[in-house]
Amino acid sequence: MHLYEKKGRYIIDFTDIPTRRVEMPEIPVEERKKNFREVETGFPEDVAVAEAKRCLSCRRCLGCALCWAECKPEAIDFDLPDRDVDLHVDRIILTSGMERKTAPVSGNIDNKHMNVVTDLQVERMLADTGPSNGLVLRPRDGEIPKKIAFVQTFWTTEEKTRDAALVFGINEAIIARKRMDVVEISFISPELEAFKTSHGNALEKVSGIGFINGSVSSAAEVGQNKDIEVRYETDRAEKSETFGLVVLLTLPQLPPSIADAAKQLGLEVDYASFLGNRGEMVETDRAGITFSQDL
Amino acid sequence: MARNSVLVMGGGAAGVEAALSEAAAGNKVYLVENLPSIGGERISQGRIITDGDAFNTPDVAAVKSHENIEVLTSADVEALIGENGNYRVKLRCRTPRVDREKCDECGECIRVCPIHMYDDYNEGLEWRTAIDFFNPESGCYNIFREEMPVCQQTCPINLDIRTYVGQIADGKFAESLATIRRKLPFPLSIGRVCPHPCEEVCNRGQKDEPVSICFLKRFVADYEAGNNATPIVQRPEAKYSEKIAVIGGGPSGLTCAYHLALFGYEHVTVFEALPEAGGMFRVGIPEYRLPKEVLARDIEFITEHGVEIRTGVRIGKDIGFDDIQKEYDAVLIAVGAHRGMKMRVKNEDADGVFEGVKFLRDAALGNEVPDRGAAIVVGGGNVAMDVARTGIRIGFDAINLLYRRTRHEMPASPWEVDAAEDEGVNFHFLVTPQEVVVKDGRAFGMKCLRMQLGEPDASGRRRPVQVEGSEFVMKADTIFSAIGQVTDNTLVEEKHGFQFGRKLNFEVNPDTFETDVEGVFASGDAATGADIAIRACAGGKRAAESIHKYLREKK
Repeated sequence: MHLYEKKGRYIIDFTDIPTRRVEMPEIPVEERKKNFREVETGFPEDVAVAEAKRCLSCRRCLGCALCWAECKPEAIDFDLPDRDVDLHVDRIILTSGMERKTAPVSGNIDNKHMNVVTDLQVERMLADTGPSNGLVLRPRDGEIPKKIAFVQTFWTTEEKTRDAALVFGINEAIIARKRMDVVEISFISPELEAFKTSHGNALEKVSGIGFINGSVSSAAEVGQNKDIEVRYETDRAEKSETFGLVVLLTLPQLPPSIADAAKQLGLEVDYASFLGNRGEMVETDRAGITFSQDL
Repeated sequence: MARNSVLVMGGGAAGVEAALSEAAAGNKVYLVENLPSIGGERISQGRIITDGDAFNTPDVAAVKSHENIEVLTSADVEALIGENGNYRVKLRCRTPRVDREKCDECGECIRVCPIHMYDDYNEGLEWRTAIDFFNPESGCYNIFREEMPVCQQTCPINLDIRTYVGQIADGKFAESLATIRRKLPFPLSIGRVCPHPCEEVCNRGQKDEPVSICFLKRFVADYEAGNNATPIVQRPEAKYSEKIAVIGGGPSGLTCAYHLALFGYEHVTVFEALPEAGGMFRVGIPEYRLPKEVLARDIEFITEHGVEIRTGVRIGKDIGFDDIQKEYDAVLIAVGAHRGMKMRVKNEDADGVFEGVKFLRDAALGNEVPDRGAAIVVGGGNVAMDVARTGIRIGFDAINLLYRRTRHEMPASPWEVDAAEDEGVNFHFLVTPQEVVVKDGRAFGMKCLRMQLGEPDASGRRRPVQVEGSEFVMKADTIFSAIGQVTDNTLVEEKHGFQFGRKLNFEVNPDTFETDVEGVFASGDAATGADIAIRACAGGKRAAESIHKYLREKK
């Protein structure tokens, strides 16, 4: 059973998404002069009720026990306690986990534009078990975008981690292009030149993607279609181009659970410790502990 | 018989692969993952892909069925010690609330679950049910239950927002207001002035825009007032005879007094130095944001619980702090932060230069205030906005506001800045005051210097640096400084033994709000330095709980 089937069969969509929230009514500026009348006048009842209905109730299990009643093998147990496990092991293998962070970009502070997504979201869209049948869609209207930009907005001093982030994004662009060959794809990174020194040969074989060595300064929503206008600088000029979807590249990092474990073992690690040749283990200076290479 | 035992940390594609190869070599494997499920397809970041190998799809089914692999999900590592050949690992696995030994993965639970929540597994692109398997192959069925929604966690006074907003959606307005008042006695006031940190984290904001939580609170409170409904007053069953003095009748002191009354204390006296109670609600926030009669209704609700408010009594002057200590079993100091900070420029004490907070206070109390000609307001916080917007209303011809960084760095709420601009306040960014220009013994203008933004400082904001030779004089009849407030702590003396912080605030234990002096507590701005009203209320509530605990244990 796949998640997208589940959606089609069971999940009731929120038909009111996206909707703007209600603005507080105010008295006009002219009526505020030389007096202290309250500026904001408050919601009328119908407006307040409609706004309250926008609350998702941060839907979590409420203990309604519908699933409990339905479960034939009686596997559901609301009082099942947390479990303490004590293990003795001979060796430990650490992996890098799956945490990534994004850097904000001017024009999209607080990630307010729906048609700006992260490469992690695109990975889910491309996956078989993802929500969109393996296609990359605009969250705003569910349409296939005509133009997609993958953009790097972070800076890093560590080359191996940066290259991993770029390869991840380039691979997504390749898959997206292969599945949706009508889509025009640009890939904008200020560090493409440096990246080419290690990955130039492989990059030459990639077709159908416009690679731009440039630094993105803003990504802002434009027009009724809620497209995204990207401003970027190349060494020649300042440019601006509009895309149907913008994908922010993310930088992989160690999740706290792995970083803590490594610390307790007295190991100095960062994400780059896990990057190398596929399938090989990296021995650490502590016998019995190895790093598993990221794939 | 397993030859060796191996712990694999991380249930991603790399972890699954490592677990399978160790198990194939005949070892016993524990696969430990912090998330509720393992696996998930991964796009490679090690090499640029060619046809046919788009995803690394780990063989989760093989892991699940392998007799030598034990999968431990939702696992926190509590301790990890030892050396090669002998590691000890202590794990705590958060409950999935589903017994996976019994579960046959039929999926019926998902079909009937009525809760459709933000799908964390799909990076928020979709909705999922509260019971879910995350990754179909893993069979890791799991019920997502959480103690508290994120808005409530973020609210300083921990309001049960989900409940009161839900009650509004159901048209149960009186119930909604009762939910709020279980913790907060100021729904009318806070519903107007709160900068609502809850809305910043609202999950609806991930989809489009956050729910207008703050104004919904105002709505239910206005609804009661507008319909002249009588507020429900809780009468506690317990009765306690200890006497408690609350010094300062502002958001924090009154919230504390309210909660003490709810605990059953029948002798709670609030001492307010000014002629009117309400603190910064009354004399800091101007009428056009929070009308006095609206505030009066909130305060009346508090006094109906049996709290006595004595206005016009300044402790340290009208009554000595010693007498308070002698007379009362416990004392709360919640005197706020009502004294403006110095700009530290030349001629600051000249005639025509005022503290912004004093101007607001005088205007709110109907005292005489300057109101002619052009005024300069120095500062970029909400107090500066209040001073500027009040100045516009009170009759100044022009209000020029100086801020040394740009609009982007201003600490004031953006909607306050916009409103000030709409109403005609002139903003001058990247300008620093240098010296008050004095003519005939009174302020005539401000000598200023232009700035530009340099490197970020410790607060992450770009530090303004001076532009050489950019001095200019801006003319003004009146100058207001609004660059921060400190506490007036002159109600106590050195002999009382209090410790003070940088903002002259009373040092307290941040959890209990106890001071170093036995039986004396402090909360609100007087303890934390100037902060938002809801945090002052939250501190007052916490102080009430601490005072209750202190008095009951003492007995």
